[in-house]
Amino acid sequence: MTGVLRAAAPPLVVLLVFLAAWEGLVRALSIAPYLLPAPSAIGRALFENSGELAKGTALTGLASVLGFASSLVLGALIAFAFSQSRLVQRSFYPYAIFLQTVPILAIAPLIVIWVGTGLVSVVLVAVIISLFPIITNGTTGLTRVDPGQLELFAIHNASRWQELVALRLPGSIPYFLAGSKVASGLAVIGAVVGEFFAGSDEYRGLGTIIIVTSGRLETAHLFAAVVASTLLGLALFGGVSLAGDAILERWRGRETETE
Amino acid sequence: MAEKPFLFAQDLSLRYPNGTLALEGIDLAVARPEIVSIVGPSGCGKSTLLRAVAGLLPISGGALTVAGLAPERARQQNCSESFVFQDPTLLPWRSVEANVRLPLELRGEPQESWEARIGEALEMVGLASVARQHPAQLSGGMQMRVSLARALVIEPELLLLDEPFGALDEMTRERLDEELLALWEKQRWTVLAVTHSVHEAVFLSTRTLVLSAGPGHVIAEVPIDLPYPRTAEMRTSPELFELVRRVSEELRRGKSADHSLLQEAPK
Repeated sequence: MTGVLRAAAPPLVVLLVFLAAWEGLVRALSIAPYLLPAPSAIGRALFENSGELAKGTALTGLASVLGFASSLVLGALIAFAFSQSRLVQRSFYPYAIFLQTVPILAIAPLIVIWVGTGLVSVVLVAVIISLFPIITNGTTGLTRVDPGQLELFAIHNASRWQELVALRLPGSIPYFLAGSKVASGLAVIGAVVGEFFAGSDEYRGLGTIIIVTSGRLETAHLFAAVVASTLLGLALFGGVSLAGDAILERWRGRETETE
Repeated sequence: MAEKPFLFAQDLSLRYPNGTLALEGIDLAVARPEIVSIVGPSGCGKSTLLRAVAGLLPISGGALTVAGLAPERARQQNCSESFVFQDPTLLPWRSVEANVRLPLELRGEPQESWEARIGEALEMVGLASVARQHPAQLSGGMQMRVSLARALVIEPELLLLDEPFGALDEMTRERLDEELLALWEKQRWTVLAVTHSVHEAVFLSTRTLVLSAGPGHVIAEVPIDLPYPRTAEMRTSPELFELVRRVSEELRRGKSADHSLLQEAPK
């Protein structure tokens, strides 16, 4: 516990000093609150709108988790297809890169036109933006196998199926976990961006709140929503990282007792 | 037709897909249960020869048979083989016993025999106490022993060793050599062992083959007529040193012959 404190103390001090300087500067120069609200004003906005923000965080969180989970399943299936056939991989990989390079801000309005506002559109945007790291990492994990281990399987006359189940699949787990970490952060960003366009009176996620408050120059409220979405991103990334590390520990067998 | 030796090669040549000739004019006849070691300068195709015998690489010319069949068919049909690689090549997500179990799973050996055989193999290499641990928790020497246990668990007829202890420190290597020989006395597999240590080659084998630099061909064959069991004391015996000297001399001759060839060759 003291170790955690010692690790957390320096960045916390930096944060406090930063917030204090910010507060002091805003007060001293009497900067207009719609331009740059003081941290205390943001804090007040967080408190005053806590109900709305909590609901928004829950919605955006739901969309992020759904998007991330869909990416995981879909990405694993695509990576598997890529790993099974060079031809499939060569034919479709360029279009997978498209996912990585597509300007999501341009695609999101299109999705709203096709699918309408609401959760489904938001989840779709989150999937599009978080799918690529799963595909690339997964494909690498399934295809890049130690040649010595392949020879080991060959010498014992392993079938293609045995090679897949006993070598390629378990060997790819660390790669999928690395891809998942990246994808989890991206899924939150995707959900917030999706909500810029797909939000409505029925669907008020954090992205919706950001867009609405920015239109009304309620900058402190906007900042409060940004704080909430950052915390949400951290939470999802942290959760996936922790789960991934736990799986990896088991995978490497660090948990078994050493005498 | 006279019966062919267990392991037989005649005028064998092997060309890599990229066109490089790796082996040329290799003649080989190994009876069971011999231990034949192969030494040669690095890049001479020693490991390639081992992989050809295992049926992992196709030969380009000449003949090569294992138990009377082409290598790949022999491996699939009537000759159990194990290969010990330079690296332990253990699967990191499997415990020690699960790693040793792998060949039994892949070969579809009857499940009720697994436990006893794994236990025996681990006992042989002295690792029964770490059966539940994972490779990452073991030292390099222990990992190599697991790799050896994995090779021996199927009681192979042919054991192929590709510089298996090369990456280990000398003391560990010597101890593993001695353990290997002690096991061989009991189990009598046929062994083809590649090594870069002349001393190790002589100490282990009934016969040492010297390959020239690439394309590799056999330039000398030195019978090692030292008695088994070979003890640690024999490592420093004058008889063994004499044989080491002879093999080293042949190795040197192979290298210089190769250099003159290189100088004559155009470009």
